[in-house]
Amino acid sequence: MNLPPIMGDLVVLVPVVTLVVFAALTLLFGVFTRERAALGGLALTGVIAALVFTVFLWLQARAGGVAVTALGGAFRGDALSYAFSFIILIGAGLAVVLADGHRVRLQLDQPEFHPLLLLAAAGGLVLVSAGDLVTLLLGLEIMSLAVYVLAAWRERSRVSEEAGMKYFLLGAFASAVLVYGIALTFGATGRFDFAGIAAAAAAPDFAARGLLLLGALFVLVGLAFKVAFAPFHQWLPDVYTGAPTPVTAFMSVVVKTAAFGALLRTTGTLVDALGVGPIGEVLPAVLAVSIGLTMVVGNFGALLQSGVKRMLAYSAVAHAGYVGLAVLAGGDAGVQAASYYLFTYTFASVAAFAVLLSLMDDDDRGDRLERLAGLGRRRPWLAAALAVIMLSLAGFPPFAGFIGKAVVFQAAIAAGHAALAVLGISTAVVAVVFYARVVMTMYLREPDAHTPVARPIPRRTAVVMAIGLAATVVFGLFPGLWLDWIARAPWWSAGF
Amino acid sequence: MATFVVLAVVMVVGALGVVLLKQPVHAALSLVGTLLTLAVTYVTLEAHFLAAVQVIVYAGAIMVLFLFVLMLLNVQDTGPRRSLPGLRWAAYAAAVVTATAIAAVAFWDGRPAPDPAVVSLHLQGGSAGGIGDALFGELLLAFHLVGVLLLTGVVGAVALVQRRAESAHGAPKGTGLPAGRDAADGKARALASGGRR
Amino acid sequence: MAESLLTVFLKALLLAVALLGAFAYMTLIERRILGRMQHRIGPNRTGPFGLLQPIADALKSIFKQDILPARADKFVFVLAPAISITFALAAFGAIPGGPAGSLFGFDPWVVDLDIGLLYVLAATSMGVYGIFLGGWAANSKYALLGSLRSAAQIISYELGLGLSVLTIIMIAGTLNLREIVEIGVWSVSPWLWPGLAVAFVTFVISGIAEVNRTPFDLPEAEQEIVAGYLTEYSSIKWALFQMAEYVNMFTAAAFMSTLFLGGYKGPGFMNALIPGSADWPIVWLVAKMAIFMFLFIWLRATLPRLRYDQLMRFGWIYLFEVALGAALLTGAVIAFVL
Repeated sequence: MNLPPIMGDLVVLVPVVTLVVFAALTLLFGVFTRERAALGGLALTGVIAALVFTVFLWLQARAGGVAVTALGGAFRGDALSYAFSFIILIGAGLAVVLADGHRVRLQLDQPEFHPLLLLAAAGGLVLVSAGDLVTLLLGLEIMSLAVYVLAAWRERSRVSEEAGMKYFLLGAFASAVLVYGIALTFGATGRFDFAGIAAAAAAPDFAARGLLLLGALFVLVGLAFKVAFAPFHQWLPDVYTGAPTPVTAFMSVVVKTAAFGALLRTTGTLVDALGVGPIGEVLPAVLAVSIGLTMVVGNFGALLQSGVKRMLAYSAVAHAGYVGLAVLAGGDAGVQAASYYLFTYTFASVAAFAVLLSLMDDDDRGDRLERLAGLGRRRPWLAAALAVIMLSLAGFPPFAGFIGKAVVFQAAIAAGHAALAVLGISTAVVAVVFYARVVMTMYLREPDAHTPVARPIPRRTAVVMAIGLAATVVFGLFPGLWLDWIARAPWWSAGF
Repeated sequence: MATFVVLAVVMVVGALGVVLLKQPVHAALSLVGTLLTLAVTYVTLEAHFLAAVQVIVYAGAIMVLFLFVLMLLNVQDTGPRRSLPGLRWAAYAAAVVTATAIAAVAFWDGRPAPDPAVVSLHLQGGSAGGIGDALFGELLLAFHLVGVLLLTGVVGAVALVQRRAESAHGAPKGTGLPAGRDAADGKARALASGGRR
Repeated sequence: MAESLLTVFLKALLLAVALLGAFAYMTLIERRILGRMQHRIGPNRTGPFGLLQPIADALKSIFKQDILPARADKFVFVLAPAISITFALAAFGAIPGGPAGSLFGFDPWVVDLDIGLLYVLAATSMGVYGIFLGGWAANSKYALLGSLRSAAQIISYELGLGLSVLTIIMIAGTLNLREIVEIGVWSVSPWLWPGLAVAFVTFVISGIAEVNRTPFDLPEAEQEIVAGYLTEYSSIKWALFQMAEYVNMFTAAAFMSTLFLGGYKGPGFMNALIPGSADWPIVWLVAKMAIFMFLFIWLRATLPRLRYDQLMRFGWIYLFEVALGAALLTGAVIAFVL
């Protein structure tokens, strides 16, 4: 049997296939064994194997200097997809370890838990590697479907059920909008693949620019929901709060990174396809308004919260706004800035949730700020770790969060969005208040009789915290490790 | 063209019925009607295979399950709910604006409508072959991804239901029972007890 | 040969009348056969051998009071029997009764579709709505139970049905029922016989479940839920449901004959006895249908009804897997042996 030429270079599919195969293995293993502890190890093996393959492919692509595609361009292996796959897999790996440390306590040890995590990560990889809108949609759905279930994981917990239900209903609605947008885009250009859309729109007799704009707007709305741009962010605080904390950590890194990867590719293509002129202005303008709103809503929302988990949820919205600046900036600079931001955010976010996990009750509640009182004296190392992460998230030098904001603002200003960058900087000042409040509570406030003592940290959680902390410091001091590495890659526009 | 206009009107009315009818079963029936009309539209484009699959899959299977759940739960309109004042009207306004925008863009689209004969030719007389070529050709990756998506859905559904079944029966959690037999039992029991309620 | 719209319309009308007439006498035949099997006589008072019984039944049905339950959903309640009979009659239209032009120069079918097989499946799958909605609209618990059972049952057994048909589609390589008959699935290769035989059995079982016949008649199990979805129906609407049920049985029998038993083609040796007789239209199809109709009645007299969980387990755990196995086997044979 000889393969038709459409197959292309199937090797780029290996990371995704690895994850799916390990999901199936974990599933089968879970059916036939009582040893639930082994499932986490198996899942982690799968993630690490996929990570190794991704790095290998990435190095190969850098050496070759060209983007590789499989199956007629439906699946792309270019710098965007490798960089974001890399971040997704690191986030997934950290989340798996994090969940494993609190597996029994939080009742996460049903055999379906790890397969769903792996499938969600696989969906994320498809999402950032998609070369056409159909593949993109399917990747998004695979990821979302798994995460809907994971968000509702806690048994007999109305908050968790509400989280899953809310996420599912709104997510399904957003998917419907996305599908409609894809249909309109197809109606305008007759193509699903990004290269084809760009080519069709570039043709001199292209007459359906209005339809393409409408399609692009719908696609943007569908994806904006997943990355939680205002006003489509409203699900996020409830879902992040209601989901089991390890799942929240997973969502805040894997889902967010994957959705941004897709958003970067899609808006990049569509903004270019719409071209200049009054119609071409609409999409960036809508995006700019939404991003501005996101930064304001996220930061001020976080300011009003008394629960740390919910505060982190709102701050996730705010960070989405900052990454949005990079999306708006577009081009290779935008993609690089976004990748740095998301890469460092992954470590900080997982570490923050890891600290939070060891402070919260067995039923995954109790995230009041008052609980942190006196942590600086009772558990100095834990408090120091949380303080560093909070300062990094707030954007203090020399931590990675500072560099992240700097490159993002730089990209936005370079692309001519100075006003929005100024808004971003001012809201970042607001953000300092609520991050600092956490630090102040830990070190300055005296614990009263009701303040529970933080429980000892499982070793695996400590490893996650250590990795997150180390990365936050190292990539803050040496941002070139990531920025220079990705600057010398064949970028996403290279393959078209 | 006249046929299409008639069918389009029926479809739009059906779709409006889905949204506006108060009784959930009526709304679902309205959706069935819309899907059937869509199948007829496929027939007018000579896409017979697609029309048959549309009827079998959507009208014949998915909507039956929809209705099954609606009837099993006996979903009724529970009267006024608490919501932000004016939310309903804002939603109506948003829907009208969006629909108007889409209609305006559609009518301003400068391209001539494609010749039905050309469309029919591309559809190869509506035979299954053309769809098979597309499905196992340019959409091969999508085809496989749908498989992964369905797997995810099944695993997720079992995960959610299985936990409830386990805790409802008082079985110790996480005992690692073989899931297959038990899930089938649970499903049969759930259906049976639903049938006897 | 493309026929005029008028011819097609007349043929459709003729088919509908024929099916409804056959329904009337099928009830008589069924009651007589059941009587014999149960050591009774069966209805034999009205006319010679009871031949006028169906007419008496029809008159009785029509002139009975038509009750509309007060709390029923009136529109859906009236719509349901109409849906049932419409799709039941529509489904039969695609089944070919003989070779092209064999019926006094006309084609012995109403429509000849390239996707005839799918058309029959689609039309019968729509028929479930009649039962389903009728039971719901009556606003009665027994009727609703019947509806829910019917929906779950039909959806579950459609999988077995579809997978059994897949075997035929793979062998014939077409969805056109006439072409399937002309190819003759059994004559392709002896290697395919095991798969075909299994598929035939699973197809017949799922077919019986699809038309809600014993042992799969849970939707109207008299002993448990009065008459299931029919509980609140009376008079002509009740009669319409009965008609739909029997027409569906005819369709199932004709579909089974067409797919697995050579449809309208007579056995080859008949040509030796009477030259050309194997190509007579309608006759052979009706003869083969009669075999299946007898089987349905026979089963009704023989088998007890399944329990609900047995029904579901049988459908999902045994029938589905076996039909899937047959399809895989056939696919493997086609790919690797032929």
